Amino acid sequence: MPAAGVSWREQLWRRWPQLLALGVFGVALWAQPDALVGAFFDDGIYVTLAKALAEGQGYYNIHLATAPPGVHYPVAYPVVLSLVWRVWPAFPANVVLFQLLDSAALALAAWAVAVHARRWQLPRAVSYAALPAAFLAFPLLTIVGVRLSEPMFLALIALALVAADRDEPSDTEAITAGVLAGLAILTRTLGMTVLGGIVLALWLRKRRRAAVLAGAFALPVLLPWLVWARANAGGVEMELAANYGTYLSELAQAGVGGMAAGGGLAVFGPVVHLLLPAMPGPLWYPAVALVAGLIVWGGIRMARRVSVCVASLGLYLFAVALWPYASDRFVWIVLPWLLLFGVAGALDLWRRGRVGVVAVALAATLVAAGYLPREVTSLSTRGFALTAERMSVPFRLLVPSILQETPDDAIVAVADEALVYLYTGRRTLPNYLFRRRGRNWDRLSSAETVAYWCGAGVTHVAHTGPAADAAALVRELNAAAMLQPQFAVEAGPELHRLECPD
Amino acid sequence: MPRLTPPRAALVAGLLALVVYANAPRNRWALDDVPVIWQNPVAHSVPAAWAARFSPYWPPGQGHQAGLYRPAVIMSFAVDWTLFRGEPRWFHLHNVLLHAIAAALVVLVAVAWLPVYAALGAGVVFAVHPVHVEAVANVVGRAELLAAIGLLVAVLAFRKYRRTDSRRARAGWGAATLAAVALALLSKEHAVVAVVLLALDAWLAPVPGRRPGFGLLLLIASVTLAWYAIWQAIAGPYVELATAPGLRHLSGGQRLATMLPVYLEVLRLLTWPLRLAYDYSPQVVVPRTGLTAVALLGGMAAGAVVALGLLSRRRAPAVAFGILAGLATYAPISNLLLVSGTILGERTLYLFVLAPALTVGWILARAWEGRWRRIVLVGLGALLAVYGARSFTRTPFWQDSRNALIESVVAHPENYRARQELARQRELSGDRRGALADYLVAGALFEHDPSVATTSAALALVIGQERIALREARRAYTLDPGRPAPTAQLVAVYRALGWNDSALAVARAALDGRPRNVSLAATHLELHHALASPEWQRVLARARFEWLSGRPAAATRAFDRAAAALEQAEQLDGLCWEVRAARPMATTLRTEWERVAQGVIRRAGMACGSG
Repeated sequence: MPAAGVSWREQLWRRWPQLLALGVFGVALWAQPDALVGAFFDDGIYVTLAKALAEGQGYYNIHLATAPPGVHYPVAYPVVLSLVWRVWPAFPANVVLFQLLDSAALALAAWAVAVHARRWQLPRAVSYAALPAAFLAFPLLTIVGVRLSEPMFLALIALALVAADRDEPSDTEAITAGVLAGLAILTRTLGMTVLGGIVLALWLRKRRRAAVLAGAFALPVLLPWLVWARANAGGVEMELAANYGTYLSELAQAGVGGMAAGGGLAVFGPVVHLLLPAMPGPLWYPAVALVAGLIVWGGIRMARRVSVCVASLGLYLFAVALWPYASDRFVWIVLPWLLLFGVAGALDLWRRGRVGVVAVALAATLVAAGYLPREVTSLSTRGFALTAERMSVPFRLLVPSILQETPDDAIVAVADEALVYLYTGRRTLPNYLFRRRGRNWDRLSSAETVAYWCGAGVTHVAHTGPAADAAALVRELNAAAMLQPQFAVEAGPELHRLECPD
Repeated sequence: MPRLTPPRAALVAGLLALVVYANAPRNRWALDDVPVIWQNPVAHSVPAAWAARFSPYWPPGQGHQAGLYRPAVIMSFAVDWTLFRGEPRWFHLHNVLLHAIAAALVVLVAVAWLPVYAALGAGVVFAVHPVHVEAVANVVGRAELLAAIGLLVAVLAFRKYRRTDSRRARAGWGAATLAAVALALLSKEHAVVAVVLLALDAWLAPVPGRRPGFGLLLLIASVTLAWYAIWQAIAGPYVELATAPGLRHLSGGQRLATMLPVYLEVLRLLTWPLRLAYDYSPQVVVPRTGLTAVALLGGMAAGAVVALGLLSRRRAPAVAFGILAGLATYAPISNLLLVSGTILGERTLYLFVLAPALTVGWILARAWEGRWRRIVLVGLGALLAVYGARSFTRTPFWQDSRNALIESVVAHPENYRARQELARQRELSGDRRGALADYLVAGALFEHDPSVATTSAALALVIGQERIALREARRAYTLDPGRPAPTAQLVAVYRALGWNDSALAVARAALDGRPRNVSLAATHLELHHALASPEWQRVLARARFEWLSGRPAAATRAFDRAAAALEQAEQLDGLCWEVRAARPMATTLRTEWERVAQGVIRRAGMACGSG
């Protein structure tokens, strides 16, 4: 239905962000796996925090026996989930609403990235091809299928970049960018790099009023959370600090050495392995350098047009490298921009003569040979859903067994403790206690673990199989006759009753 | 004489609808009204309806499996019940009022293309059309009425949205469009075509120099997708079970061969709806396995209607909108691409009546200035009088279930569903022999519905007609081999006859076909207990049942007990089958069972094979 005098090509270009958003929304809904909430650990925590908020229990980890305050996971995503929970307070039936929310967030992100991409002044075909490819990427589909805050985070930073990345940002746009960046930090702590990128880029471009406004209006958004986290940081016991303490306490545990070890860029390893085909060692590093070089070159070429985006993404990747968590999902979530930078770099090199053409062709061949078959296989077999579905399998045996074999007031030490709480209503504690040391962690000794469990009133211990982190400890306690088996599947999950020493 | 403005014309059409259905409030509860409203506590209070806002439309155990989700309709019933203490006449009055509103909205939609008097003509046709009686005079027809109102309001709000300059007013009309679409989606599933209807309206009633509202259409498409996800989570798993029995056994080609003649019937109902039926199950509609001349004619007629809709878009956009919008709302239940729960229902044609209504309006507009004006007016007047009279006389058909069923059987003795329903009513009233006779007639009329044979077999067994029970149970099992209900029935009949080996063979064959079905596992377990089978068999059957019921710990314990009992067992009949059938469970739970069983097989020198 083109309006009079406007060609369909122009109509398509005008409506492209909305069309892309609709398509991404549909695909994201289709990509939802048949998995249990909490199989990825973080997803279960977000949903239990949302449940606590929706039921008026405050921002506490109510799934844990000691119910420590929520100071690790920023508050924005659980708040949004809690609003949805209030609409339909029947878990797990209401999971479909969470799925809708995450799909809508990814669609909003797609819309914002497509709007922002116009500023890049790349050929329209790039937007038509690269953005659907980025949002259809199987790692992104895996992420949107799990209740993680990444889609909402992506949407917020994309909207912040749309607001900030302008030649002459008005006061309203600067304030909007600041508030959105503040909300992004309330969604994922790594969002601070985006706020940093916005302020830095605007400042360097001599838009100092806008930079100050953005920073100033982000602070009030963050302040209540910072005050809460600071005031309640001591409410998390040392044994739980690695997963439930503040990031500051965790960074302190990791130490400078742990963060500096990120200089090895190990976090990017899994991403690169998915992008490139397997090849002999001597060829590997030049191939990685070529693909990474295209992205970096694209960033350099685009530094004037989308300076805020370049600065934010640069800081973000730097922080991800140093962050003492080896989680490649932090990288996948910014894939749309990485792809745009790669394409921008490739287009620029292509125009620079034969060497550039060869480099681009080589990089394209490498990605086509490495990533493309994986993408096709994943889409055709719903491989993107398999991780969550496989991780749910042991819990499909464990959850009903816990329901059947334990009393309502039992406290179960188990992995994915939020999942077990959500599906059984039993209070839980982690079955594997550790403290961070550098980029690694040390398991607490058996005596320390049992002392903590018994002090907290743990009545049962469960694990998901021989490969589980806690399996060795369970074997050890079994040998010491401290466990009474309740349910066991050979090479599968086990549930035991714990006999605490007097 | 006051000038005829669109609101006045809408009022006239609405009032006429009230007059035609003046006798509807005398009706009571009929057919689906009973389980969905009268016996449904959720429809009796607003808090209960609110609490069940994410539940399927039908109450549990009474068609829960129909794959429907209509919370707005249930809420409207709850409001009625609360206000009028469950008095059916008010429910009927509410339906009539809603129909009047829908007729008025048709006038307002039609004025985009037709002069006011012609739009009034369209509204009057819509108000008095006899095919609407089922939707208006049967309370559960409210789903059609609310969905139609939602869609028509959405069309009107979308027009306002496209015509408005003010940003704030645009936002308001956009929100109104979305809210109306949401009401329609939460009332009946076919509102999924809302975006098509709105796009059609933008195409056929463009606003010169204005944007077509593409962004809002994309937003509505997103809302529809979101609704689909929620519907899929709540009612989706049951859809396969809700397939119309008349189509269940047909291939895609056979379904088309059956449905093409139905499209001729649809055309007849839209144009000359004097002969009406509450149900078009076999043999009112005869399932076909090959293409017939009538099917070809039906295909050609359907094609001609589509062509007429497309070709008339320039010269008669009202006709094009009526036909294409009607087709769009009919498409989801047309059984063309997807199989629905009904072959044909008059209530499902509620919005399809836009096609004859707007066509009549267009004819009226053309004839008004011409020399045939008087003849056309008289002809249309006569047609409307006939329509109105037929609607009025048809309304009491829905006065209660008994009347509807008896009249249906008299009017369509070939309808097996009506006969089956009548049998159910007789059974409920205690007339078991009469009920069995009716069930057997229903089964003879249409032999492909296993539910009729299953029910006949159960009833025959109760009244001691074992031969009939055996014949019917076997027929049900043959029609739907391995399904839980026919299997349980055949097992029960064999047990009653003392044919225990046959009962066990049937139970095992069914489990072979559907090893994860918990109902079949329950039948198998009950059978072992009834036959006092060896302990290891009973406990193993218990293990399967527990495992499939989601109690792995109990299943593991039962497995261990079965293995222990097997070590001591002397009676080893069926061991090979049990070992084979237990393999999926053993693989998951990894108990000692299979090792013990294989040891016993070896010791006993049995040869079980690999199957």
